[in-house]
Amino acid sequence: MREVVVLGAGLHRFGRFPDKSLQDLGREAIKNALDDSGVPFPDIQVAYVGRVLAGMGAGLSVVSEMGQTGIPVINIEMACGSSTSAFREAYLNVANGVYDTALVVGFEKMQRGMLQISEGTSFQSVMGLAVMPAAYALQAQRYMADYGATPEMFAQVSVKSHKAGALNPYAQYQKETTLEEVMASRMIADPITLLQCSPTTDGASAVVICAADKAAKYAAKRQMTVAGWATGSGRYERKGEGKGEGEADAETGAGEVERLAHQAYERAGIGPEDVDVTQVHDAFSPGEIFMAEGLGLVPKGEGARAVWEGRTEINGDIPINTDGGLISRGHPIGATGAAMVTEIFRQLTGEAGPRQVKGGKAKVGLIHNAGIGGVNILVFKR
Amino acid sequence: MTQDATLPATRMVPLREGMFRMPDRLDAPAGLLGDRCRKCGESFFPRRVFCAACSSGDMEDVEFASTGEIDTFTIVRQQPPNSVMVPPYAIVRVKLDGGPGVQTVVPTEDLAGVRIGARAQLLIRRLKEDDAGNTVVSFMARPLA
Ligand SMILES: [Zn+2]
Repeated sequence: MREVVVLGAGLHRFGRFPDKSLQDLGREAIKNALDDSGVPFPDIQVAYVGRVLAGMGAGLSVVSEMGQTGIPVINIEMACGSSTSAFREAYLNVANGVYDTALVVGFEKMQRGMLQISEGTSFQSVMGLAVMPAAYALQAQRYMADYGATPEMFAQVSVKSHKAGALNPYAQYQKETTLEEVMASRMIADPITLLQCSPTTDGASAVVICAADKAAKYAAKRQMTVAGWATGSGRYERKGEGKGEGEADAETGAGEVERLAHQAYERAGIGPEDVDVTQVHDAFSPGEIFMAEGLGLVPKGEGARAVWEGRTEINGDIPINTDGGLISRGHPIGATGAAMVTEIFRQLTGEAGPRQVKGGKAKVGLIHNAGIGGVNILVFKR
Repeated sequence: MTQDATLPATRMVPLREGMFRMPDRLDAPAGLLGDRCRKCGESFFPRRVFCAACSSGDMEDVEFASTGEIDTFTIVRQQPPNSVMVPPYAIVRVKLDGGPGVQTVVPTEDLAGVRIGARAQLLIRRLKEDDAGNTVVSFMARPLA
């Protein structure tokens, strides 16, 4: 496989844009990514599009806004992990020589309110078991009992996330919040309060990738290399007990992440100690804690304390979700993964401005993006 | 004559056919119907056609114990779409005695005593009335004092 680089990335601001169409959102993100990369749209040979809620063929209807060049446009869905799935497919096809350039796009427009995760008529839905924050809350309660963590430690994830979001002009929420405000916000599923939940969001993201040996002709001033990847779905873990239907273990379970992270580190030839900056899937606050552990950034049981002690802040030793993460940047499900790639690109190229980690010297970036059904891990090097 | 509160006013029907043994009255112990893999011994609820652990199709039907231990829980405070449960209610994961772990709910009136490590009893409870006027029932947990 040949080396593949990211040449550019771009977003449409995340937030609520009832007057804008998917095409409006997607066009702006793609234009920003193309400009950032120096690659003109007619040079793009294929587009992979992560999207969830839009109707048939939505990928083409957005990408063709840039021109009708006859390229294949491939729609990909893995719930909240859709656009890292799109990124992986684009990467593998460029790495294997099928294409030299590829565009990765993610977009979503969402309704307000709780995300529907199961057929409305399933027994889990009717019995009130299909509740996404509850999947995280069940694990959080168990985690508190096992490791002595407190509800405040989960709430601190949101405080930290809002602090980073306040520095990100593309974030849905650009305002800091206090621990008191997070704790006092409406309880959703104990111990998770409203301000510890990712919002519903409209937004779009795009990334331009290129075979490393074809990148010289483009005007991109800088690049990052795709160094490793891993992907998989929830694997049945024999515990002498079945798992009830409707448990999103692949998303919230650190065990699955450990297995995949190990694979990604091996492919990249690094270990967790080499990672300078990380993006994880904090759909709800416990996500950051469980994933910091699952990715091996901190030992098992120490994630909550790491957050509490500020180690995952922008100026901490293991910065996580420096753009505000899902909770503050926002979570337009199909667009989230490529937005994670965008932030790692800014960090590794030293263009993250007030959010910049490690004085612009960050060399290795890590992404964990999950959706119902699976997990994607990506490793990048400057 | 006093009316027995456990006798439903209308015909009882299960939320989903084949999930539990249907009793003749409300609040009876809920024997969940699942299956066990003859090849590797893993047990499942609801029933699976192929084993999730080894993919064998050689499965035998089992009725699990209606008691177990609460492994973890949360209290749901916001009305989920499409659910007939009224918040606050608990979602609990109960490790059934000699059986699998299952997720179910604890209604508001039984919330006291919901904690990790508590013993729990699965019961057949009224969920709602359907369009034909039947009493729709399903399995729920109640912490044992
Ligand atoms: Zn088996």
